[in-house]
Amino acid sequence: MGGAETTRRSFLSKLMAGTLFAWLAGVVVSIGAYLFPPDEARSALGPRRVRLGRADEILPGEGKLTLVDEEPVWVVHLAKGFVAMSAWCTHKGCVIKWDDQQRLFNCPCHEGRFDERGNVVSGLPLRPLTHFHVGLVGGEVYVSRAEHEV
Amino acid sequence: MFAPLKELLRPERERTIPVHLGRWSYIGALALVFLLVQTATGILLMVYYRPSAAAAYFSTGIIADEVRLGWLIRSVHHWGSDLLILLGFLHLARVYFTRAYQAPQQLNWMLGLVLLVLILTLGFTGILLPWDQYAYWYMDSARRTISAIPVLGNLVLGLIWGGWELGEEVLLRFYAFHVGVLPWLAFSVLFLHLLLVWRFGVKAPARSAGVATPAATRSLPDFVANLFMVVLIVGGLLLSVAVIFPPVLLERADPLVPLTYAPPRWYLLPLRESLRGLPGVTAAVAVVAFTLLLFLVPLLDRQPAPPTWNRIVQRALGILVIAAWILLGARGYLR
Repeated sequence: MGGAETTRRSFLSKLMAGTLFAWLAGVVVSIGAYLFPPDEARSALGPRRVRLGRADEILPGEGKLTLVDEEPVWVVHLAKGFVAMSAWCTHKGCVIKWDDQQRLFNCPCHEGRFDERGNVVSGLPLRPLTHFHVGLVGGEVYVSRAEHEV
Repeated sequence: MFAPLKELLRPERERTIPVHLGRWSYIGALALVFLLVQTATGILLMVYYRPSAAAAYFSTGIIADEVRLGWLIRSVHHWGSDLLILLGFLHLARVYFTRAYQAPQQLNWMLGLVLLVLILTLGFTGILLPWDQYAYWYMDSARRTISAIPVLGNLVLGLIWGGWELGEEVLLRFYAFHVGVLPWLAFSVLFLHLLLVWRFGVKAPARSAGVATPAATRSLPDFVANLFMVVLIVGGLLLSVAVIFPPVLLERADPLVPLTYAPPRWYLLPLRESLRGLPGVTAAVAVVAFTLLLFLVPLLDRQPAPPTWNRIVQRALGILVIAAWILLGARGYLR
């Protein structure tokens, strides 16, 4: 152990340096842990965009389902560009499906139907689908909430 | 690589500190350390805090409940402000009773007082930021207390409140003062405060003829090592209090549901009591006169070795002010 070389002074110096190091390590690790937000904090911190994929991967007339803050959202490629709307039926909240042949959203629960703009065509729903914001950035399609929600 | 740094610190290794200072002299240095802790935890809170009436309460909840160790950072910042203010008061008392405000440190006494006022204002402006029921209703009662003071009250309200009703614009002002104005002012004054200590050293108390001046202790490493140990002990205490008593976050601020009991923080209790206990004009005059008197202490007590009766009066006045301060605080607490 080299006991002969360990004086009281050197022992105390090492003890002090060790304590300082332990404190610093604790502080640095705590700050590190604090700065990486958990998902719970992240999802609540304002609107964010969700990347859907390359614009040319979604052919005209096709639709693709994605999630924005845990809400299913349909993004459909129309002749005039992309539109995005909630996949929750405004009747009972079932997840609707895009039919690219008929160009309609169909609800499997109570046969509600919406057109490509989200307006009610037939069935029990009374309100149109909720619209989302969709945009092209560098050839990629992104979706976000249309309104700023806190 | 470190040669220039060593060269820079060489005179510091030879710097000495009068040994008479004892334990109480660590309070000032301790306050400096905990001011840095407040700055660090404050910056960390800014990462998640959002200063708007819609999001302030919500983001404080995120910090307290969701962010890893967020509750601890918030708790350390909360209790750290109390600790810093307590250390500020103790440091003021130490300087007063050792009469360290005398030449050449007269200006430094005044700078220290300004710094204490700035730190108190930092504590005050921080109360509103969580935007919970306590924050709202305490500030509402503080506004009423301040508005009762003629001239001065309206000046303070106009400057800090900006308007009359508590709302987002007031929250933003408090936030701007708390993170963007007061810390810069405090650090600027602190820089001058430290510069004067560094330049002129810590004032040794006057001694009667024939009493030998005690030996000096080395600044490095003795003073720094001792300070380090004191910081560990006080920091450990702060951490323990922060872990055991995390600050409560009440319901979100609701201007239509009054909180019946929203007392000020302990350091503002005596001031509130003085302002409420006296009629408007008298209160304003008393507060201004007392503050002025405190600033003028170094000019009123200039003799290095005053006659005994003078020293007795000086000490008695100090004890009287502290006793009055504590009694006013206790009265406010029991109200």
